[in-house]
Amino acid sequence: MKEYTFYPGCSSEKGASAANMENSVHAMCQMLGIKLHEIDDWNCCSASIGYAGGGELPRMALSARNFALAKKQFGNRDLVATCAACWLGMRETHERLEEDQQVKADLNEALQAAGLSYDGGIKTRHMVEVLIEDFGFDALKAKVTKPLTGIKVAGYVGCQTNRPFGVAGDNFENPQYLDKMTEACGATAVPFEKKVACCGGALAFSENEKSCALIRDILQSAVDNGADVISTPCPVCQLNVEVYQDKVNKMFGTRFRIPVVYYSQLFVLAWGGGWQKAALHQQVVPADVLKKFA
Amino acid sequence: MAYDLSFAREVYKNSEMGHWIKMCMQCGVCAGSCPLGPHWEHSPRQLFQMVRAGKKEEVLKSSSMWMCTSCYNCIVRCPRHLPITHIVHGLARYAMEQGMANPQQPTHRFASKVFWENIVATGRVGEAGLTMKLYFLDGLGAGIRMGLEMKDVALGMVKTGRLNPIPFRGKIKGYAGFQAMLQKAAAIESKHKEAKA
Amino acid sequence: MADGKATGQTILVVGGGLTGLTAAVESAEVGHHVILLEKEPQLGGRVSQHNKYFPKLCSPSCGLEINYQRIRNNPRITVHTLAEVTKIEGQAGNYRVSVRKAPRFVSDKCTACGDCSRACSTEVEDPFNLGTAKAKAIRNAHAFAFPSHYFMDPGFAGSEEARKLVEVCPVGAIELDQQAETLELSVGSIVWATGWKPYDAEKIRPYGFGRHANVTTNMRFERLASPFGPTQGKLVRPSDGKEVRKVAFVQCAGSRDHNYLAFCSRICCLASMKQATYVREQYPDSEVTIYYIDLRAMDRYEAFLKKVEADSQIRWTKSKPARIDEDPATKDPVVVGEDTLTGVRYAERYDLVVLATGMEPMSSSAKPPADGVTQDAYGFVVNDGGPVIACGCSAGPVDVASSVQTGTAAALKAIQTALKAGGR
Ligand SMILES: Cc1cc2nc3c(=O)[nH]c(=O)nc-3n(C[C@H](O)[C@H](O)[C@H](O)COP(=O)(O)OP(=O)(O)OC[C@H]3O[C@@H](n4cnc5c(N)ncnc54)[C@H](O)[C@@H]3O)c2cc1C
Repeated sequence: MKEYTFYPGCSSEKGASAANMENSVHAMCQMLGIKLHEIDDWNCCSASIGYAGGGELPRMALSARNFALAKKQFGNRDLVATCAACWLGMRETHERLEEDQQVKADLNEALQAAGLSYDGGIKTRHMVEVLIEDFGFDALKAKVTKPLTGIKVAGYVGCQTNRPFGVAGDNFENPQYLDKMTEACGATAVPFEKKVACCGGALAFSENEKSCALIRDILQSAVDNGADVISTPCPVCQLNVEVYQDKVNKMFGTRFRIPVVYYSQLFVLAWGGGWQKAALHQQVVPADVLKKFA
Repeated sequence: MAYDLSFAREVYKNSEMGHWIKMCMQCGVCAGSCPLGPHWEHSPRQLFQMVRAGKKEEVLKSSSMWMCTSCYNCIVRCPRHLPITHIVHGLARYAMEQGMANPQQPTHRFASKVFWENIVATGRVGEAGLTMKLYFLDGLGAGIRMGLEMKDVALGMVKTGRLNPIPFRGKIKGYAGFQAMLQKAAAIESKHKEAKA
Repeated sequence: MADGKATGQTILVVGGGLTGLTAAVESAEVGHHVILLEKEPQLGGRVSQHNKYFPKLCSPSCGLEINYQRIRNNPRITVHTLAEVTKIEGQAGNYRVSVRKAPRFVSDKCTACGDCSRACSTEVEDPFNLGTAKAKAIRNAHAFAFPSHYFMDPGFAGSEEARKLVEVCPVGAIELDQQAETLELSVGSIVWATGWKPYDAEKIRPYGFGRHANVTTNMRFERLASPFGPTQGKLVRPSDGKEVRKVAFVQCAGSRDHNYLAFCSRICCLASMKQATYVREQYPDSEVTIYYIDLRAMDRYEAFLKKVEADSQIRWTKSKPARIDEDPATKDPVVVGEDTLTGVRYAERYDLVVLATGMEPMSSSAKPPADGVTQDAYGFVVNDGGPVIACGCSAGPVDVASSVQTGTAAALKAIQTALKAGGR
């Protein structure tokens, strides 16, 4: 049993947009022998657009509070996030706090107002890093009982698990880890030019049509390459590329209807966890092609 | 016209990561790498040159910084390792602080009004409330129109248990401390800026 | 050639490119014994792969040929090809150097008649043409190669066909039982002139080299333009053999870039200008675009820039392109970026795109095997009184003229070192 401190983030709350990720991640961890200790009373990390309302220090204070709580509750155990933006925000704060004494002092002064303190030391990691570095692709593959044979997957890495920090030392322009996960499940990773293209991120809220144009290109590339499903590690990518398909179709006269799933859903399915555990009933675009593996 | 560095100095000091602008060699890779490239008034490269040229009004009133999707493509492609995404975020924030950011710019409204206020209100983001507030920013009529337009998206999500239709959620337990912390952090930040000015 | 006996005052020159050739002949012509080591089967280095030299646009073979002539006429120079230094010990005036010499499988008796090559049916990768063509497993690198004896691919030497070729050779020069040997040399000073290698363009992923058929590199383009190259000098594109009428050069492809090579190679701007003239001369209705961050035509090369600028069919776009796409139907490369003088974004289609990749020091991967060698952050060898005297592109990215100058300077330094420490 491997244990980690866990930061779910707002989109993974009950009944929130990444509930399918949250549910499948928990099933995946259970099957793999991972125990996640959720930080009690965590707060939002402010994702990628906290800079506007939050500026520099209040923005970083958000993550600092989560670190302080994590340390108090679980010591220096690695802190794992499943959301790309959460991981990125925390990792940025982590690096600036560890590298810059002034930032550390300022954040502690702010934390003091909440009766907290944090002297550093917790490593912030993404769930996919845990899978790759602490388990390895071979171990992930060894658990497969229902190989997803014949399923063609466009591995949509997206932006924030990939840039600017990257996962497992992968190349920013053509990371391999997601395709390797696909292959570990027994499915086929298809070439995918839009693998690291942007879906619009948070701007899907404020600049929806501009984002839909980006989403169209991503869907088109997946379909052109013969993908049955798109898989992704990022809740913003998953949401945008899945739920705006109708809108994209209306805007561009296309007829996209392709399921967009999380890597964790594919693992749970391939490991014999079934439909519900994989949270595949929570897809807005039903992933019917995967039914036969349930 | 005299060569006036005062705005550049201001940005180097007071805008997050602004000092990096000195390092820009004007190659243009950031511009070609940006997913929203076709939509902005000024590319990151242009903004940086305008900062150096003292064009305060044009820079801070530009809508361009608000077009950043935080994809970080510019950062990893910049041949001089400028943290372009952060510089652009910093300029956006600085435009707000200077009261020059266009209040109608959609991402500005979303990020500063809706999103941040949503966090500050409870400690966590409630997605339903976030969406509703965004739609109703321009009043009831516009809100209903937007709501209708997005109805199918919302319905699909409610049905699959991914959108809680009741836009109310409680506060985190340590809310009082949370609020005090944010206020303190903001106070420290302004103190630093005054000291530098 | 000389008896090759090394003494404390012998000067060892490592690398037989234009720099090493210069250092060798300059030292020998004032009376010193010189041993010249070259890891390839033949001398000349990168210059022998060029089509023409800037700024005069003459053929590199004359510059090289003069040096070969000087070597042939000088009994004090010993040349070892297929030879690499494995260890250097000792101090100034008295170095012991171990050298590994790989078998050539062809002896000095070879007259370069070419019978073996014509009879040989096996083809192998041809490093001389940088992957643009295959070559016979027994061959001469090119028509003017020196030493002109043929050589055989090591992987081929054990084959059945190789045994048959032994009979084909009219002078009995093919020796399949040749073994690798180790030479132990005693020398007074060591000149390091191992030069450079082209930066691996596949690393610059947004530019698509290796994936896009019609994206090539400047060194491949030199071969394409050469009358002795894979197309006999006809400028056609790899995907379909179409004549190239619209060509783009992308400067700083991987250079001046912290993600790749952080330094400026100094010659790529001039090399692209030179290559633009290849296109313009061959096809009078052609158009060339050069994408650049800023043009670097160092000191006297300004005149060359002016000359090229006078051609209105050569356009200059101040921009480091963000990426190169490929049109799947036509295989046309499309260059995407922002014109930084106008702020306009472009997506421009070409027949062929040439990446002006830089010069990475050979010594970044193959370090001089001696204690006390200082290298800079990029792997160039620094001259700070260490055991080797660096010159040409092993000391920094330079053009041929500077290579010759620094090669000459290194010769003087090598002579001083050998003499001083040798007790004279
Ligand atoms: C596309 C392009 C076009 C160019 N065009 C021009 C031009 O027109 N005019 C101009 O002035 N310059 C030009 N240059 C620059 C020119 O190529 C260099 O100035 C020149 O090659 C430097 O010579 P060198 O002897 O230092 O290195 P090299 O030419 O690299 O020679 C080094 C030699 O050392 C050998 N060697 C390497 N390692 C070892 C080892 N460990 N042991 C033994 N031997 C070793 C190599 O095999 C090689 O023969 C161009 C460069 C490029 C990239």
